Amino acid sequence: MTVPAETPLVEVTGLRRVFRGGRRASFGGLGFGPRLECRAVDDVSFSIRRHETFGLVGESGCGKSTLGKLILDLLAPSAGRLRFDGKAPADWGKRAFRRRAQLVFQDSLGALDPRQSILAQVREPLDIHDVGPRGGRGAGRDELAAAMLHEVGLDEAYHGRYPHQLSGGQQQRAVIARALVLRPDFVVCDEPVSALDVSIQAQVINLLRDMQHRYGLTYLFISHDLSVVRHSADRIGVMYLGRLVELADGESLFERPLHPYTKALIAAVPIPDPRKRRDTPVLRGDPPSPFAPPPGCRFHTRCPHAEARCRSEVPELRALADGHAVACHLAERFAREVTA
Amino acid sequence: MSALGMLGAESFNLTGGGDPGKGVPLPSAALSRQPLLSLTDLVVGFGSAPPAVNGVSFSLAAGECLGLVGESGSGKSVTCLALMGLLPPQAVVRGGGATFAGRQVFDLDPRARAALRGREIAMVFQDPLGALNPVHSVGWQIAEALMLNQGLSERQARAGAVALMARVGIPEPKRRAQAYPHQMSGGMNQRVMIAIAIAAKPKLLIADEPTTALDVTIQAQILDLLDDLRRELDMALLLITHDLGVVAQMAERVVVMRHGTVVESGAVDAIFHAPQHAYTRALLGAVPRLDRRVARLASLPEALHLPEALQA
Repeated sequence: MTVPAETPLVEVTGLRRVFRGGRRASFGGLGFGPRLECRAVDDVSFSIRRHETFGLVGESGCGKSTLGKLILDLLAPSAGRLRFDGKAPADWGKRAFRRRAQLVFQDSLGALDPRQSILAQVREPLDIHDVGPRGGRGAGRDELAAAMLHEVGLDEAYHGRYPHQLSGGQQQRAVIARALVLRPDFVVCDEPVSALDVSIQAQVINLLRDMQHRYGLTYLFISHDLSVVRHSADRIGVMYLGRLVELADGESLFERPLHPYTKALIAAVPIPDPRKRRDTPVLRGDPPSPFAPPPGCRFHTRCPHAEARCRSEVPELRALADGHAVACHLAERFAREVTA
Repeated sequence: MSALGMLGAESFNLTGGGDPGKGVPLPSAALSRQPLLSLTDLVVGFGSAPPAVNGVSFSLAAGECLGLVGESGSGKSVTCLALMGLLPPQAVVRGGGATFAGRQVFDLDPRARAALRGREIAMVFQDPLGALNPVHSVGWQIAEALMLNQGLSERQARAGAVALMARVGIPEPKRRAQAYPHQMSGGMNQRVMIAIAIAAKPKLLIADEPTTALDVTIQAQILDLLDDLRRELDMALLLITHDLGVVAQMAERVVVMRHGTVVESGAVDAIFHAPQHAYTRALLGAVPRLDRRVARLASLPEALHLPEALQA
């Protein structure tokens, strides 16, 4: 490989995706105005290092899933650049890129074909990409698929089953097996455990981690659940209304959050310990509509520290110390307060 | 165990938990209160299947917040639907009793049970958009509850609805009263559901996963509102949730359910800091936490996972 090892596996620069909504701006209350635009992802730049888990957190509608789809080239960006292993996905070729970058969805039942057995579905990527020996019953590919299923904890008894005959946790294991059977380098996990019960969630999180170590995988781990992201991710990006507002390694983000939104988000998480009860919630009201984001810093309408500048000037994401980047005009002040 | 502990174990004996010695001391505040609700040996079955709720007993004092936790299929929702008389037709209460404010709930005639519902026991569900009527304004739906349960005139009820919307923290209540559920956010709709639920100042509010569909910052606001209302109206709160964080933040006492039985119950501090049952311990170990990072989450042993009937 000509690419030096320190090149990040995934690099996005100024990525933007605009959706033109069916909703129209109100024109005298009649709804005849121009179609509203939603900047689901707006000027996002960051990179994902090899073999790390990059966590992406934010509340619903913040653009985290759209960003995941952009990075997998499942959606075309409106602007900006995506580099995977040093090249644009188009330069790798669609098939080669798909083989290296896979996806694990939240809704495992919806992601599986109800009319195919689990083994057939895990085998299908091998057929599509023409991997392993060709052949019919019992030959090569079935064995590769079976071995993959075994690795995720689904033994032979399950191979002939259909998705509806599996529990939610088993379905998610099958989805993971299907994503990993091609031995990809990179997997986007979009809310992989959100639909699962606590005990099953723990098993799937542990499984994803085991697979990462075994195959040297790089993950983009998208979740609304800060506790899950804290547990799973090495570095974490926080999104709010389409923009990346803070980026840091997990320890730094949770111990010394600098963006007021990150602080509010962390403070809102209920800790499973009655001796650590939370005070009254920091944030009041709902986030603004992504169809009509506020000017300046998008968080200023709910920010307890907002100043005049925050209402007009968009803060850029800029690095402070030790790889901790924040998009807040007042970040330096908060950083001083933390160290003082 | 202290004398207080023994008393707690006796008066809140758990059939599902087996060993009555496992009873955990109650906070003295809860002891001094009269039990408002007590369930004894409740059994609910769907058709010929094994019972979904199998011998559940717990009680709740006036003004108290009790957390009912368990994973999906543990029977926590079915327990509450049985109490409310809202079970689907194929489900039957096969045994046990429920006493609410001195009355045997299951002995009441349908009319008396309907009077209990909404007036004395109210319920908030997980999906507010599904629970609200899409073709009526939210203000009207709150007013309707006031007219039905308080006998107010339409005019009084509409004014009352706006006041209730203000109380549950909906900004611009007068204008928002005209809005339809699809025009409101999930958090605002849940506030509307809460306004309907508290319209008759019920003695007991059952909240079934009230914040599961909401974002974490909105969840914090809704939980805060429920806690405020509980104190203000001296209303008992039965909080059903799968989220151990929510329970730890809100509940005074906790009942842990699994496969239709109560595995453990006690004061919230004891459940989280001195859990007695292996399942409770395993569940706590399986939750990723924001305040501490562990190398690996605990996995529930398979034996703990399967219903007894399926274990070899």
